[in-house]
Amino acid sequence: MKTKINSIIKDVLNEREIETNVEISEESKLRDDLGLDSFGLALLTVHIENEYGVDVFEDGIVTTVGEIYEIVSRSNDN
Amino acid sequence: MVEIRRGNISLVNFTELSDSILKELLIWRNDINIRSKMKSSVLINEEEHLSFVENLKKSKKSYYWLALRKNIKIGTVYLHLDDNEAEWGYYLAPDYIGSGLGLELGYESIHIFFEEFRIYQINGYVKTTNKENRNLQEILHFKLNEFKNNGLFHYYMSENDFKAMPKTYKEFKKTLFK
Repeated sequence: MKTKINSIIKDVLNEREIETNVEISEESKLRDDLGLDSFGLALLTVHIENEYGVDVFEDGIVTTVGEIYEIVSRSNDN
Repeated sequence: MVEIRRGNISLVNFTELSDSILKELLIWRNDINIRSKMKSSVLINEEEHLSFVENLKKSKKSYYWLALRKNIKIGTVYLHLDDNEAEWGYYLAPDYIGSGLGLELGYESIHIFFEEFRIYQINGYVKTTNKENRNLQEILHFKLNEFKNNGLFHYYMSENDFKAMPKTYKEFKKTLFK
């Protein structure tokens, strides 16, 4: 699941033509470390929703990749 | 409390909010990351803020709403009516700036405006330096009028432009993929 989410993040970064040398990890901040802008974040949530049927913003704001892992993992458990 | 609901977004008029929520909104409004992007970036004190809300109760042209997404406070939206046109604007709460939620808030707000108010055009003014908001206006199908005044770009959406938009946020999101 984590590999798939990382791949989705990379796709969005490519789509937004955002170059980043940072390795995607649980601690990576979506905006500050990976450089996603607000539209990039909107796109990312759309991709995640399409793939896993989960609303990333269900509980409010998400700032790190780890938080996305957690939300998706929690939804898989339910 | 009267709410206007569409999709995940609800709008609650400032005039119906408690003093404690209004004080929270003042803190948002005065946050440097928010006011620096507004037409007027001066600090507002509590007295001015409460008096502004009091005046809204008498106005039939200006509407300011607290925006909630699934009952979580995420920002504010305004609409100024002027004959058959209107000016809109929004800001996200400081914690939500750059979160990506502006797109959903903007999409649902525009639908509420055209569906609930009899208007033929919505105008938006964005600081030329606010690249992200300019981008968002264009993604939301607003058109750029080349007119530039006081460092602001003028964006507009006609009723026909609106009618051509996908009817639900779910459909709209599908159009975002390249």
